[in-house]
Amino acid sequence: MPVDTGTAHRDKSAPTDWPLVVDAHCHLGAFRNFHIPGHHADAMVEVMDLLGIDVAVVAAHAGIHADYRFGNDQVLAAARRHPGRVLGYCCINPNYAAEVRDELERCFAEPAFRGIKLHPELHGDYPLDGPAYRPVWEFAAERGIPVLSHSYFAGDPLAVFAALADEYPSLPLLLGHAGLDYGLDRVVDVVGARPGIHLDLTGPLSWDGVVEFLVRELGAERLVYGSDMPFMNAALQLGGCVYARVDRAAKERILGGNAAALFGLEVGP
Amino acid sequence: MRYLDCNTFIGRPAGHRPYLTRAVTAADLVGEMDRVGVHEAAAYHVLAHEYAPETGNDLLLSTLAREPGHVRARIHPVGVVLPPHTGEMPEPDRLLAGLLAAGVRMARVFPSSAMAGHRFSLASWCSGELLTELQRVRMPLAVDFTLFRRGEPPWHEIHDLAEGYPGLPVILMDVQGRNNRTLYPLLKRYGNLHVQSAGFNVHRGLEDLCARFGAHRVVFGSGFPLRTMGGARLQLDRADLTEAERELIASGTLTRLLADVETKETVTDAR
Repeated sequence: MPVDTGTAHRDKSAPTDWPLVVDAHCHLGAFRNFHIPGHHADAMVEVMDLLGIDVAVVAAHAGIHADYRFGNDQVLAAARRHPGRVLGYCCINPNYAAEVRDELERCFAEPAFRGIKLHPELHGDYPLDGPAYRPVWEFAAERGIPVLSHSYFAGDPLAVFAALADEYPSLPLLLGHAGLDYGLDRVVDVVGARPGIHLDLTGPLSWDGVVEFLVRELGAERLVYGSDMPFMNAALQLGGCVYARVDRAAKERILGGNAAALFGLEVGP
Repeated sequence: MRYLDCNTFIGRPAGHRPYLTRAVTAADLVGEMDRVGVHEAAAYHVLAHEYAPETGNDLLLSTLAREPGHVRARIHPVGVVLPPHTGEMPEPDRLLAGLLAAGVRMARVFPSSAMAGHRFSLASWCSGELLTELQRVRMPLAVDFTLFRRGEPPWHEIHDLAEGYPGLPVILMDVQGRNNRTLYPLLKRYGNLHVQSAGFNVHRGLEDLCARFGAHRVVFGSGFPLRTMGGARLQLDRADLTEAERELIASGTLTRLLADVETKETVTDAR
């Protein structure tokens, strides 16, 4: 279902005056491990307005770290409060394996949910290719729903992402944090031949030269802007993209064009 | 609005493959400052961090001396320092006199025991003479714990540093985004503690710091060339702050701190 992102209703100014900016990796709510000022949806939308971000696709912290149903309900409430600005990732918890399919059905009965977020690290390092995640891959592949999975230095190896992409070629897979901890040159080698994998740039955008390297090696078509807001500061990530030394067409794709295609968005009138 | 970046370096780092594998010259740094819109930068030489402080400091000063005036005028040299006990650096009075005579107005330490650090304690029994001398001349001290992204600074050392040397302006370079619950009481108690802006990777973080402690406690910095200068600018430019607050962060506070450094007496002593 198309979403009116309402871009025509907001003023933007350089350097973030892009036709569509989608933050494809956001969270929502409190996080037990540290203090986050203004972690609720209203404060996030205020930041989006300051930064020229049109749409945030959010996974509740509660969903990745506490009670997944409580978190998914928070996401739905935020999306209803900010229609067109906040869309959702459905979080499932592999430790509640028997409930996975039902939760996916419950979430995707609502058009606000546009993706699935997996966070194996915070769910006991449950392996991505374990049986409790199997309904996720099947559900997402059947419906073409993007799955964003966290990646980190001690988590699932890059080869697991590759194997899943090979097994489910119709699955839009977002490699969280672009697999930074594996080494971006290794990531390029693995995902280059797997068009179903997109790289979520959340985190790597802090490092000077990352966007230039990935555009050169993979092309802008595979890259998606994300910030981890409110887990981290969205402007630091966005600045890494809008100031990158790549051409305007590449930035348009990274900032919003690629995400629009993945999440089924249409720019408003 | 003038921007003064307190956190940059020049030189060839060991490498952050594949995105930073080049030597960064002073001209490169100034080129990026021009591209992003930053007027001045405080810079150390990466060899002073990754190899040996005195060697890197010498390289920084000799490199800058060869640069044209328009480049030199925009880069404030930063001296990386160590306590004197191993003989790697002179006694603090001579060290500071030499740095001041060479035009250095800001110091930096990497005290972490991690491999990226210089592995020494900031406690008074180890760094007391150095910190006393830095305080005497009011030289701003950038403290870089080279934290991993999920890291936590050594709070007791920061507490003792701030409490023991109240006249020493301290800038915490990379306090990260997960430490407010312990950072805030330190900022509340000790007015000499400052936070480098881009090192504070917190949602609505600059707004929160300014509302609680005042904009004069935040100093603009990027971490370039390792981190993006553009990210640091966007973070400050789009924060929900007043122009007066933004100006203090962008350059006002650090400009004042650099101007407050006591130079005359120490330079005389060096001769």
